Amino acid sequence: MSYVDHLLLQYAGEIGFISLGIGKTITSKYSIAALYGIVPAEISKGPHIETFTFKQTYQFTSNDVFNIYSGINVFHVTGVRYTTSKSGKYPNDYYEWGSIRGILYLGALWNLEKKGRTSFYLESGVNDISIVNYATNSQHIDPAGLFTLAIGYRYQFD
Amino acid sequence: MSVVFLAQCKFNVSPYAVDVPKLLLNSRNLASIQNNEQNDSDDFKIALTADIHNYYQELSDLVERINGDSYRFTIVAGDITNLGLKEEVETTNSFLYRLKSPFLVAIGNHDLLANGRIIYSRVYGSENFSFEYKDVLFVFVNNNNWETSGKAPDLKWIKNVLSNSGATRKILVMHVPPDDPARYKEEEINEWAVMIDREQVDYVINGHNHSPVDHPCGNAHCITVGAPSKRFFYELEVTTSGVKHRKIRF
Repeated sequence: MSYVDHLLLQYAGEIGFISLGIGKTITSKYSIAALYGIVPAEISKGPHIETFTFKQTYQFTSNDVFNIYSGINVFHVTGVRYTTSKSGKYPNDYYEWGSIRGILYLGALWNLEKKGRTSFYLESGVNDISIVNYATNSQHIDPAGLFTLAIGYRYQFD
Repeated sequence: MSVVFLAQCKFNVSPYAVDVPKLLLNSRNLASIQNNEQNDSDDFKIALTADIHNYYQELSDLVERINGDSYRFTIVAGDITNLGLKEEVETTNSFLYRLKSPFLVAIGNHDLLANGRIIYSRVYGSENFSFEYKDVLFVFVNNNNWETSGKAPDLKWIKNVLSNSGATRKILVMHVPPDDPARYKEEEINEWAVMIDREQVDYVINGHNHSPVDHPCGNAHCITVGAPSKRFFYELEVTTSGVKHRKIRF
Protein backbone atom coordinates (compact mmCIF):
# COMPACT_ATOMS: atom_id res chain seq x y z
CA MET A 1 0.00 0.00 0.00
CA SER A 2 1.47 3.37 -0.95
CA TYR A 3 1.25 6.38 1.30
CA VAL A 4 0.89 8.72 -1.63
CA ASP A 5 -1.21 8.04 -4.71
CA HIS A 6 -1.68 11.38 -6.39
CA LEU A 7 0.02 14.65 -7.17
CA LEU A 8 -1.60 18.09 -7.15
CA LEU A 9 -0.61 21.32 -8.86
CA GLN A 10 -2.81 24.31 -8.09
CA TYR A 11 -3.07 27.97 -9.03
CA ALA A 12 -4.54 30.42 -6.47
CA GLY A 13 -7.29 29.39 -4.05
CA GLU A 14 -5.54 31.56 -1.43
CA ILE A 15 -2.85 28.95 -0.76
CA GLY A 16 -0.27 30.22 -3.22
CA PHE A 17 0.33 31.59 -6.68
CA ILE A 18 1.46 28.05 -7.40
CA SER A 19 1.10 25.12 -4.98
CA LEU A 20 2.47 21.65 -5.32
CA GLY A 21 1.33 18.73 -3.21
CA ILE A 22 1.00 15.03 -2.68
CA GLY A 23 -2.12 13.21 -1.61
CA LYS A 24 -3.60 9.96 -0.50
CA THR A 25 -7.02 8.57 -1.35
CA ILE A 26 -8.42 7.23 1.91
CA THR A 27 -11.75 5.90 0.62
CA SER A 28 -13.46 6.11 -2.78
CA LYS A 29 -14.92 9.45 -1.69
CA TYR A 30 -12.43 10.94 0.79
CA SER A 31 -8.86 12.02 0.16
CA ILE A 32 -6.25 14.17 1.83
CA ALA A 33 -3.25 16.05 0.57
CA ALA A 34 -0.40 18.26 1.73
CA LEU A 35 0.64 21.21 -0.41
CA TYR A 36 3.37 23.81 -0.37
CA GLY A 37 2.54 27.09 -2.05
CA ILE A 38 4.53 30.17 -2.88
CA VAL A 39 3.69 33.70 -3.87
CA PRO A 40 6.81 35.39 -5.24
CA ALA A 41 7.42 38.96 -4.15
CA GLU A 42 6.69 40.15 -7.68
CA ILE A 43 3.18 38.72 -7.43
CA SER A 44 2.40 39.59 -3.80
CA LYS A 45 3.79 43.11 -4.38
CA GLY A 46 5.47 42.73 -1.03
CA PRO A 47 7.16 39.92 0.85
CA HIS A 48 7.58 36.47 -0.59
CA ILE A 49 4.77 34.34 0.92
CA GLU A 50 5.04 30.64 1.75
CA THR A 51 1.98 28.57 2.63
CA PHE A 52 1.63 25.04 3.96
CA THR A 53 -1.81 23.51 3.37
CA PHE A 54 -3.59 20.42 4.55
CA LYS A 55 -6.32 19.68 2.02
CA GLN A 56 -9.33 17.47 2.65
CA THR A 57 -11.75 16.49 -0.07
CA TYR A 58 -15.04 14.66 -0.02
CA GLN A 59 -16.39 13.64 -3.42
CA PHE A 60 -20.17 13.53 -3.72
CA THR A 61 -20.39 11.79 -7.10
CA SER A 62 -18.67 8.80 -8.69
CA ASN A 63 -18.68 9.37 -12.42
CA ASP A 64 -16.06 8.49 -14.97
CA VAL A 65 -15.59 11.98 -16.34
CA PHE A 66 -17.11 14.72 -14.17
CA ASN A 67 -17.45 14.82 -10.39
CA ILE A 68 -18.44 17.31 -7.71
CA TYR A 69 -16.71 17.54 -4.38
CA SER A 70 -16.34 19.70 -1.31
CA GLY A 71 -13.60 20.18 1.20
CA ILE A 72 -11.73 22.23 3.74
CA ASN A 73 -8.20 23.56 3.38
CA VAL A 74 -6.37 24.33 6.58
CA PHE A 75 -3.31 26.42 5.90
CA HIS A 76 -0.47 28.17 7.66
CA VAL A 77 1.48 31.08 6.29
CA THR A 78 5.02 31.29 7.57
CA GLY A 79 6.50 34.44 9.00
CA VAL A 80 3.19 36.17 9.64
CA ARG A 81 3.35 38.02 12.94
CA TYR A 82 0.46 37.18 15.18
CA THR A 83 0.15 35.70 18.57
CA THR A 84 3.49 34.50 19.70
CA SER A 85 5.83 36.77 21.53
CA LYS A 86 8.80 35.32 19.68
CA SER A 87 7.61 37.09 16.54
CA GLY A 88 6.65 40.33 18.26
CA LYS A 89 7.01 42.25 21.45
CA TYR A 90 3.49 41.61 22.68
CA PRO A 91 2.45 38.94 25.19
CA ASN A 92 1.41 35.45 24.11
CA ASP A 93 -2.26 35.05 23.20
CA TYR A 94 -2.75 38.80 22.88
CA TYR A 95 -4.37 38.35 19.49
CA GLU A 96 -7.27 35.94 19.10
CA TRP A 97 -6.56 34.91 15.53
CA GLY A 98 -3.48 32.93 14.77
CA SER A 99 -1.67 32.11 11.56
CA ILE A 100 -3.73 28.95 10.98
CA ARG A 101 -6.51 29.74 8.55
CA GLY A 102 -9.22 27.79 6.74
CA ILE A 103 -11.09 27.73 3.47
CA LEU A 104 -14.34 25.93 2.75
CA TYR A 105 -14.71 25.10 -0.93
CA LEU A 106 -16.80 23.39 -3.57
CA GLY A 107 -15.07 21.87 -6.57
CA ALA A 108 -15.58 20.20 -9.90
CA LEU A 109 -13.19 17.58 -11.28
CA TRP A 110 -12.84 16.65 -14.95
CA ASN A 111 -11.04 13.44 -15.86
CA LEU A 112 -9.27 13.85 -19.17
CA GLU A 113 -10.04 10.28 -20.08
CA LYS A 114 -12.45 7.77 -18.60
CA LYS A 115 -10.95 6.45 -15.36
CA GLY A 116 -7.71 8.02 -16.45
CA ARG A 117 -4.86 9.33 -14.41
CA THR A 118 -5.06 13.00 -15.26
CA SER A 119 -7.73 15.45 -14.14
CA PHE A 120 -8.32 19.16 -13.96
CA TYR A 121 -10.30 20.83 -11.23
CA LEU A 122 -11.95 24.15 -10.52
CA GLU A 123 -12.75 25.21 -6.95
CA SER A 124 -14.66 28.10 -5.45
CA GLY A 125 -14.10 28.75 -1.78
CA VAL A 126 -14.59 31.20 1.03
CA ASN A 127 -12.13 31.73 3.86
CA ASP A 128 -12.81 31.72 7.59
CA ILE A 129 -12.66 35.48 8.07
CA SER A 130 -15.04 36.10 5.21
CA ILE A 131 -17.47 33.58 6.72
CA VAL A 132 -17.34 35.30 10.11
CA ASN A 133 -17.70 38.76 8.57
CA TYR A 134 -20.67 37.71 6.49
CA ALA A 135 -22.34 35.90 9.40
CA THR A 136 -22.12 39.03 11.55
CA ASN A 137 -22.84 41.58 8.82
CA SER A 138 -24.97 39.78 6.24
CA GLN A 139 -26.98 42.85 5.30
CA HIS A 140 -23.90 44.85 4.44
CA ILE A 141 -21.61 42.39 2.71
CA ASP A 142 -22.09 41.15 -0.83
CA PRO A 143 -21.64 37.36 -0.58
CA ALA A 144 -20.54 37.05 -4.20
CA GLY A 145 -17.44 39.07 -3.44
CA LEU A 146 -16.31 36.66 -0.74
CA PHE A 147 -15.59 33.69 -2.96
CA THR A 148 -12.22 32.96 -4.52
CA LEU A 149 -11.25 30.55 -7.26
CA ALA A 150 -8.59 27.93 -7.80
CA ILE A 151 -7.72 25.76 -10.75
CA GLY A 152 -5.57 22.71 -10.53
CA TYR A 153 -4.20 19.58 -12.06
CA ARG A 154 -4.29 16.15 -10.46
CA TYR A 155 -2.21 13.18 -11.47
CA GLN A 156 -3.18 9.80 -10.01
CA PHE A 157 -0.26 7.39 -9.68
CA ASP A 158 -2.31 4.26 -8.93
CA MET B 1 -26.62 31.48 -12.80
CA SER B 2 -23.51 29.55 -11.82
CA VAL B 3 -21.61 31.28 -14.63
CA VAL B 4 -22.72 34.69 -13.33
CA PHE B 5 -21.60 33.68 -9.84
CA LEU B 6 -18.21 32.45 -11.02
CA ALA B 7 -17.68 35.64 -12.99
CA GLN B 8 -17.73 37.60 -9.73
CA CYS B 9 -15.12 35.42 -8.05
CA LYS B 10 -11.42 36.16 -8.13
CA PHE B 11 -8.28 34.08 -8.24
CA ASN B 12 -6.72 35.15 -4.91
CA VAL B 13 -3.24 33.78 -4.42
CA SER B 14 -3.02 34.63 -0.72
CA PRO B 15 -4.99 36.62 1.84
CA TYR B 16 -1.61 38.10 2.85
CA ALA B 17 -0.75 39.55 -0.54
CA VAL B 18 -0.34 43.31 -0.56
CA ASP B 19 -1.27 43.98 -4.19
CA VAL B 20 -3.21 47.13 -3.38
CA PRO B 21 -3.13 50.35 -5.40
CA LYS B 22 -1.17 53.28 -4.02
CA LEU B 23 -4.13 55.41 -3.07
CA LEU B 24 -2.52 57.58 -0.36
CA LEU B 25 -6.00 58.39 0.85
CA ASN B 26 -4.90 60.55 3.78
CA SER B 27 -2.99 62.90 1.46
CA ARG B 28 -5.79 62.99 -1.09
CA ASN B 29 -8.45 63.64 1.53
CA LEU B 30 -6.28 66.22 3.25
CA ALA B 31 -5.93 68.09 -0.04
CA SER B 32 -9.70 68.03 -0.30
CA ILE B 33 -10.04 69.38 3.26
CA GLN B 34 -7.54 72.21 2.76
CA ASN B 35 -8.55 72.98 -0.81
CA ASN B 36 -11.22 75.47 0.10
CA GLU B 37 -9.86 76.49 3.49
CA GLN B 38 -9.90 80.22 2.82
CA ASN B 39 -13.57 80.15 1.89
CA ASP B 40 -14.62 77.67 4.61
CA SER B 41 -16.18 79.09 7.75
CA ASP B 42 -13.90 79.33 10.78
CA ASP B 43 -16.37 77.33 12.87
CA PHE B 44 -16.47 73.66 11.97
CA LYS B 45 -17.15 70.21 13.37
CA ILE B 46 -15.21 66.96 13.10
CA ALA B 47 -16.59 63.45 13.66
CA LEU B 48 -14.42 60.98 15.57
CA THR B 49 -14.51 57.21 15.60
CA ALA B 50 -12.09 54.28 15.85
CA ASP B 51 -11.83 50.50 16.06
CA ILE B 52 -13.92 49.61 13.06
CA HIS B 53 -12.59 45.99 13.02
CA ASN B 54 -15.51 44.17 11.42
CA TYR B 55 -18.36 46.17 12.95
CA TYR B 56 -19.69 46.87 9.47
CA GLN B 57 -23.35 46.99 10.44
CA GLU B 58 -22.61 49.68 13.02
CA LEU B 59 -20.19 51.46 10.68
CA SER B 60 -22.89 51.67 8.03
CA ASP B 61 -25.26 53.26 10.54
CA LEU B 62 -22.52 55.62 11.73
CA VAL B 63 -21.77 56.77 8.19
CA GLU B 64 -25.45 57.51 7.70
CA ARG B 65 -25.54 59.47 10.96
CA ILE B 66 -22.41 61.47 10.06
CA ASN B 67 -23.77 62.21 6.60
CA GLY B 68 -26.93 63.56 8.20
CA ASP B 69 -24.93 66.36 9.82
CA SER B 70 -22.41 68.85 8.52
CA TYR B 71 -18.97 67.58 9.54
CA ARG B 72 -15.94 69.09 7.85
CA PHE B 73 -14.19 65.75 8.01
CA THR B 74 -14.08 62.47 9.96
CA ILE B 75 -11.14 61.02 11.87
CA VAL B 76 -10.80 57.26 12.37
CA ALA B 77 -8.31 56.67 15.19
CA GLY B 78 -7.00 53.28 14.04
CA ASP B 79 -7.88 49.59 13.98
CA ILE B 80 -9.81 49.53 10.76
CA THR B 81 -8.98 45.82 10.49
CA ASN B 82 -8.67 42.74 12.68
CA LEU B 83 -5.67 41.17 10.99
CA GLY B 84 -4.09 43.81 8.75
CA LEU B 85 -5.44 42.14 5.62
CA LYS B 86 -6.11 43.65 2.23
CA GLU B 87 -9.69 42.33 2.13
CA GLU B 88 -10.43 44.00 5.47
CA VAL B 89 -9.07 47.36 4.38
CA GLU B 90 -11.07 47.17 1.16
CA THR B 91 -14.27 46.33 3.04
CA THR B 92 -13.82 49.13 5.59
CA ASN B 93 -13.02 51.59 2.81
CA SER B 94 -16.17 50.60 0.93
CA PHE B 95 -18.11 52.05 3.88
CA LEU B 96 -15.87 55.09 4.45
CA TYR B 97 -16.17 56.04 0.79
CA ARG B 98 -19.87 56.64 1.43
CA LEU B 99 -19.03 59.57 3.70
CA LYS B 100 -19.99 62.86 2.09
CA SER B 101 -17.02 64.62 3.67
CA PRO B 102 -13.35 63.50 3.68
CA PHE B 103 -11.92 61.07 6.20
CA LEU B 104 -8.46 60.59 7.71
CA VAL B 105 -7.27 57.29 9.19
CA ALA B 106 -4.64 56.72 11.89
CA ILE B 107 -2.89 53.36 12.15
CA GLY B 108 -3.91 50.92 14.89
CA ASN B 109 -2.22 47.91 16.43
CA HIS B 110 -4.37 45.43 14.48
CA ASP B 111 -3.58 47.28 11.25
CA LEU B 112 0.11 46.47 11.78
CA LEU B 113 -0.39 42.70 11.89
CA ALA B 114 0.70 40.42 9.04
CA ASN B 115 1.63 42.70 6.12
CA GLY B 116 -0.72 45.43 7.28
CA ARG B 117 2.00 48.04 7.58
CA ILE B 118 2.70 47.81 3.86
CA ILE B 119 -1.01 47.97 3.04
CA TYR B 120 -1.53 51.01 5.27
CA SER B 121 1.38 52.85 3.70
CA ARG B 122 0.00 52.29 0.19
CA VAL B 123 -3.67 52.86 0.93
CA TYR B 124 -3.43 55.68 3.48
CA GLY B 125 0.16 56.97 3.48
CA SER B 126 2.49 58.00 6.30
CA GLU B 127 1.95 56.65 9.78
CA ASN B 128 3.05 59.98 11.27
CA PHE B 129 1.84 63.17 9.70
CA SER B 130 0.58 66.60 10.63
CA PHE B 131 -1.34 69.42 9.07
CA GLU B 132 -2.91 72.72 10.00
CA TYR B 133 -6.46 73.68 9.22
CA LYS B 134 -8.15 76.85 10.42
CA ASP B 135 -5.41 77.57 12.96
CA VAL B 136 -5.70 74.05 14.41
CA LEU B 137 -2.70 71.71 14.29
CA PHE B 138 -3.57 68.04 13.87
CA VAL B 139 -0.82 65.52 14.56
CA PHE B 140 -1.40 61.86 13.63
CA VAL B 141 0.95 59.46 15.37
CA ASN B 142 1.78 55.76 15.24
CA ASN B 143 2.13 54.86 18.90
CA ASN B 144 1.59 51.09 18.55
CA ASN B 145 4.86 50.25 20.26
CA TRP B 146 4.45 46.47 20.42
CA GLU B 147 3.60 45.96 16.76
CA THR B 148 5.99 48.42 15.17
CA SER B 149 9.52 47.45 14.36
CA GLY B 150 11.32 50.70 14.87
CA LYS B 151 10.45 53.67 16.98
CA ALA B 152 6.81 54.14 17.95
CA PRO B 153 5.88 56.68 19.09
CA ASP B 154 8.54 58.97 17.65
CA LEU B 155 8.44 61.47 20.50
CA LYS B 156 11.25 63.60 19.09
CA TRP B 157 9.28 64.13 15.87
CA ILE B 158 6.07 64.87 17.79
CA LYS B 159 7.76 67.43 20.05
CA ASN B 160 9.31 69.07 17.01
CA VAL B 161 6.01 69.39 15.20
CA LEU B 162 4.20 70.70 18.26
CA SER B 163 6.84 73.26 19.24
CA ASN B 164 7.35 74.53 15.67
CA SER B 165 3.67 75.15 15.08
CA GLY B 166 2.16 78.57 15.63
CA ALA B 167 -1.38 77.16 15.61
CA THR B 168 -3.66 78.31 18.38
CA ARG B 169 -5.16 74.85 18.94
CA LYS B 170 -3.37 71.49 18.92
CA ILE B 171 -4.95 68.06 18.59
CA LEU B 172 -3.07 64.77 18.78
CA VAL B 173 -4.54 61.66 17.15
CA MET B 174 -3.21 58.17 17.89
CA HIS B 175 -4.60 54.71 18.42
CA VAL B 176 -3.40 53.58 21.85
CA PRO B 177 -4.07 55.82 24.88
CA PRO B 178 -0.70 57.39 25.72
CA ASP B 179 -1.23 56.54 29.40
CA ASP B 180 -1.89 52.83 28.77
CA PRO B 181 -0.02 51.14 31.65
CA ALA B 182 -0.06 47.77 29.87
CA ARG B 183 2.04 49.12 27.01
CA TYR B 184 4.04 52.01 28.43
CA LYS B 185 6.38 52.33 31.34
CA GLU B 186 5.72 54.94 34.00
CA GLU B 187 8.50 57.19 32.73
CA GLU B 188 7.09 57.02 29.19
CA ILE B 189 3.62 57.96 30.44
CA ASN B 190 5.11 60.87 32.39
CA GLU B 191 7.05 62.04 29.35
CA TRP B 192 3.79 62.16 27.36
CA ALA B 193 2.01 64.07 30.13
CA VAL B 194 4.81 66.64 30.40
CA MET B 195 4.89 67.12 26.62
CA ILE B 196 1.11 67.51 26.35
CA ASP B 197 1.12 70.23 29.00
CA ARG B 198 4.28 71.99 27.86
CA GLU B 199 3.17 72.12 24.23
CA GLN B 200 -0.33 73.20 25.26
CA VAL B 201 -2.12 70.37 23.49
CA ASP B 202 -5.88 70.80 23.62
CA TYR B 203 -7.08 67.29 22.81
CA VAL B 204 -5.60 63.81 22.71
CA ILE B 205 -7.82 61.57 20.58
CA ASN B 206 -7.34 57.81 20.68
CA GLY B 207 -9.08 54.47 20.23
CA HIS B 208 -7.98 50.96 21.26
CA ASN B 209 -10.40 50.61 24.15
CA HIS B 210 -13.81 50.04 22.66
CA SER B 211 -15.82 51.81 25.34
CA PRO B 212 -15.95 55.57 24.79
CA VAL B 213 -14.69 57.70 27.62
CA ASP B 214 -13.31 61.21 27.99
CA HIS B 215 -11.56 62.91 30.86
CA PRO B 216 -9.23 65.79 31.54
CA CYS B 217 -5.57 64.85 31.23
CA GLY B 218 -3.48 67.63 32.65
CA ASN B 219 -4.51 70.79 30.83
CA ALA B 220 -5.82 68.82 27.85
CA HIS B 221 -8.84 66.62 27.25
CA CYS B 222 -8.29 62.95 26.46
CA ILE B 223 -10.95 61.16 24.47
CA THR B 224 -11.09 57.43 23.84
CA VAL B 225 -13.63 57.57 21.05
CA GLY B 226 -14.68 53.95 21.30
CA ALA B 227 -15.77 51.46 18.69
CA PRO B 228 -18.93 51.80 16.56
CA SER B 229 -20.15 48.61 18.25
CA LYS B 230 -20.87 50.71 21.35
CA ARG B 231 -23.13 52.94 19.27
CA PHE B 232 -21.38 56.18 20.20
CA PHE B 233 -19.11 58.57 18.36
CA TYR B 234 -17.57 61.89 19.34
CA GLU B 235 -17.85 65.30 17.82
CA LEU B 236 -15.30 68.07 18.13
CA GLU B 237 -16.65 71.55 17.54
CA VAL B 238 -14.03 74.16 16.72
CA THR B 239 -15.00 77.80 16.98
CA THR B 240 -13.04 81.02 17.26
CA SER B 241 -13.55 80.86 21.01
CA GLY B 242 -12.21 77.34 21.48
CA VAL B 243 -12.78 73.60 21.01
CA LYS B 244 -15.42 71.54 22.74
CA HIS B 245 -16.43 67.92 22.47
CA ARG B 246 -19.66 65.99 22.60
CA LYS B 247 -20.38 62.28 22.88
CA ILE B 248 -23.25 61.31 20.59
CA ARG B 249 -25.34 58.16 20.46
CA PHE B 250 -26.33 56.83 17.06
